[in-house]
Amino acid sequence: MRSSFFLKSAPPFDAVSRNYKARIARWVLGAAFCVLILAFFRAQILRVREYREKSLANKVRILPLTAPRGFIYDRDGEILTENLPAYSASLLPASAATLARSMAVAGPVLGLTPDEVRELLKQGRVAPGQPILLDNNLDYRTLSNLEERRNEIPGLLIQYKPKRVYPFGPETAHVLGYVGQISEEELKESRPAYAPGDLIGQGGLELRYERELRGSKGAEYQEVDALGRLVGPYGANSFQAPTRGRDLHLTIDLDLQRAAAEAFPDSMKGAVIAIDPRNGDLLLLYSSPTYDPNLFSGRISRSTWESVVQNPERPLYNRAIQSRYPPGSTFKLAVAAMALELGEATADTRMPVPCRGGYQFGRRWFGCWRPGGHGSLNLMQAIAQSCDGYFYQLGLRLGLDQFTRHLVAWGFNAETGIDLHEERAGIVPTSAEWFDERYGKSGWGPGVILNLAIGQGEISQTPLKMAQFYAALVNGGDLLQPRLLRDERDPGSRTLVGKLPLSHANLAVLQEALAAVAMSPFGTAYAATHRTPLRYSMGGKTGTAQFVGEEDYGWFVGYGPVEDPRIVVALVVEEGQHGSTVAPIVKTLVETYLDEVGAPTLEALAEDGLAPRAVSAP
Amino acid sequence: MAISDAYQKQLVWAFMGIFAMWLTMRIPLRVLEKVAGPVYLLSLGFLVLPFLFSSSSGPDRWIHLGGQQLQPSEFAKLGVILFLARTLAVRRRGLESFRDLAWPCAVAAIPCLLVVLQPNLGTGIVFGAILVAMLFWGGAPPLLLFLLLSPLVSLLLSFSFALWSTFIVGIGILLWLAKPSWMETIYTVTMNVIMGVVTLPLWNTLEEYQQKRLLVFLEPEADPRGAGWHILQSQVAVGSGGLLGQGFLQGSQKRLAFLPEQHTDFIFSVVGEEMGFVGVAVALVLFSLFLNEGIRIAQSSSDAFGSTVAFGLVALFATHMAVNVAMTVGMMPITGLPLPFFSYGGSFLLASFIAVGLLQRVWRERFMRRI
Repeated sequence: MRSSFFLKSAPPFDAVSRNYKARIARWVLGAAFCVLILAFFRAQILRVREYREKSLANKVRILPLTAPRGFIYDRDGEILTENLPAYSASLLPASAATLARSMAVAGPVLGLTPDEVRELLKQGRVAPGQPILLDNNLDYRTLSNLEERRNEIPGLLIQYKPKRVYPFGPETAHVLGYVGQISEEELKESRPAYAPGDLIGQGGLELRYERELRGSKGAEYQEVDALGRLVGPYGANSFQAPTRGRDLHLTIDLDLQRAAAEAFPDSMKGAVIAIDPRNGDLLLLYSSPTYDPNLFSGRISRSTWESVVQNPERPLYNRAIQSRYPPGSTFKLAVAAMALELGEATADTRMPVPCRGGYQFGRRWFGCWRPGGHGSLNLMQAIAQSCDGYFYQLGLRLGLDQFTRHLVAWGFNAETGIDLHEERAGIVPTSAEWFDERYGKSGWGPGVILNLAIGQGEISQTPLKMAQFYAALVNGGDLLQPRLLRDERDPGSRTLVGKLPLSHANLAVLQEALAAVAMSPFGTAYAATHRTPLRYSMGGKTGTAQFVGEEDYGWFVGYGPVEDPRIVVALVVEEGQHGSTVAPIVKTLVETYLDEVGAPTLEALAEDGLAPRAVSAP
Repeated sequence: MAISDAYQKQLVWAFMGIFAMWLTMRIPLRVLEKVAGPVYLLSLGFLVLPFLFSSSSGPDRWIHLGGQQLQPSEFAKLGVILFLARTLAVRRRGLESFRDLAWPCAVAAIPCLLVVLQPNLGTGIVFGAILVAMLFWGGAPPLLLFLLLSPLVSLLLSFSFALWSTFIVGIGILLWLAKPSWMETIYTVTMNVIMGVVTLPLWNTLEEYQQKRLLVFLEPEADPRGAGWHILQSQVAVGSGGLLGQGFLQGSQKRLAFLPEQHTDFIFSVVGEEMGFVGVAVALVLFSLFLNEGIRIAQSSSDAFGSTVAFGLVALFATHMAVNVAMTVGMMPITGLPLPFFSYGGSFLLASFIAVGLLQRVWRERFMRRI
């Protein structure tokens, strides 16, 4: 019937055909057996390492334990920032679906807005397997509410998470900075050390010494089941305790810091900084308006954040080291120092043209702050009375080349090197070419030196730089690197970054002039510093920075005691102030500090028959 | 039900199964052949029943009998084997053309369709495997069976036009050499072409979870927390077992519930994790010995009905074992076929013991030739 061999049907049930078919069946089964045994061989023998790792990754959850940050102390051992026990709520869900479900329950309990929930869900997608911080400062009510509903929130982790607190809040804000949750960009740069939700220093010392302060994380190894539920500790060393970060001991004096904060009402913008002229220790750094760094430690709401960041007064801005102000008359000391060094003037040098309320240069009249004029003054009197007419002529005598060369040599165009990232360098013309580049060859004239000589024009400096310069004037000419950390091993150490090339005699002239500003009845700050009796000998220089179309800024750089200076204070107050009106604040600060360190008062000196040195200027 | 209670239940089912096996052994093949038709119709009835009482969530795979659940499809497999064997044994003509195959195919196709509609794709595959194996044992030429099955190959290859067209050309050469009847030629050509063309629309009619299972089988890493999760976790369990395994009750994949369905579908993964490659090899050797014994029974029985029943049962066990075991190492999609004598599940254990009883009966009557 069939022609083809292939399609021939065998007689069904004779033993021969059964044996034949059974053999085929055995071959088929044998082949299947071989394939399966090879597949298991591959999985269990060849790839066992890979699968063992996956199995381990499945069941072991590594829970990072936050290391408490190092404490920060002031120079007397007062705690400026520490950690308080707090509890954080995080989610470590097994899957995106569980995350969403847990979030739906936990969100309302924690009072999260839908926007915040969305943001956190996104975080869960970006870094799966990492705990997502919901709140790192649970109050007890929320904590117990969460605990109560724990079963409905799979993956909920309630952990001890130290909270950063700043007991003096706004008063120390600009020194210490603050901590905040690490941002996505920061995370990309510093992946292994940080995880989402970690706190990281965001400014001030918290940022500068982040590496030292942060400590090293601990870890807890937990065995979990497929639903992410805790089974128990994993392994013999399941708990590795975190190590607290290094403590910082600052040169800052808390009492001074608080006195500064008190002296600055909220409405008054400006900055004050104080240096120990002997070693560069920063005793005080205060910028106003300020902010409360405690706000940033917890989960910060958008509105709070915006109220600080978008505040037109810019409270986060550190005016003491970031703002550059025209130094005004406080810069006259730099000009005088240059003239003395170069031999262009001595203490008794008088200028050819006496001050008649200004100085005629070419076709332009450069006015003095006292319209009636100062008459003929020597250098010391010119400093004490801050005569602009005198310094116009002194500037001309120096000439632009010598002037700019000194500005660069003395670091007025550079940072002081304080250990804060925020610091900005001052702005000064560095050469005549500097003007050419700015205004074009014919765009400026020889008159620029007149303005520069009274600290106006193309010159602006941070309060920090001015404090450093004045510290050099009173400590024998050493430009010291300002520092915020005490050198524990060698408190007497200091870092020299430059030297004013002035002889002792010349420095003595300048110091005498500075003392006369405050202590000679002709001095510009005499009235301001004598509203209450002066308790310590004090020197300093007033300054008023003028802006076209704006109110004046008042400067005062003061120091004391004159015999053995322990503190230099530089102060700027923006808008509506003059050097002479802000001087009392500096006086208060100097006195506060000198009271504290127990410097000899004027009274004590008089009793000992030691008359103060510099009150003799006419 | 807690897993810890499961073994007691399973133990009860095992004793019931052994008793059922003992009973089955006592039934002469003569009687079995006589009741094959009614048993078949009864199992069809049980398969239809769920559709008549289907709830809103669709037909149930289970039939509830006095607090116990029975899965009718497990017993339908036995019914189909018995009735197919009878059909093939009483036939007077050869199995040389599609016309000769039509009736046996229909016998298997009806329950197959019913379970696929449940939907239970795995059991459908078992019916297909049983049919092909029994036709082969009944004497159908392998080439004819190949032509019959060729549309399925087309179906699988239709996702790649190049592969499919190569296959079609191969079929053409085969037809030219073998010269089957015009009916078979037309069937082969048209069915292959249709399968090549309709597969994609057909694919879209699959339930989403079936699609996923098939897709995930192809690439388990693609969706690790979705359907691929099961296969991946099974592979991790098996692979981490290594040569000697983690030790009895020590498998962490099992213990911490990363392994899904660990007492039913994925029970062999636990063997792999806890007993290692050695345990797997021993189990596979035991399976092979068991199946070889079945083949020997089919081979040695001179009774057409008994021999065919025995071979059908071998095909049943072999399919379950191969598909289930291959699934645990990720070589097969998740079909939900239990592993005989391993997986938890009363109906299947009972059916398996009855099947062994049948094999023993065939063995007992191997020298009798009934006409």
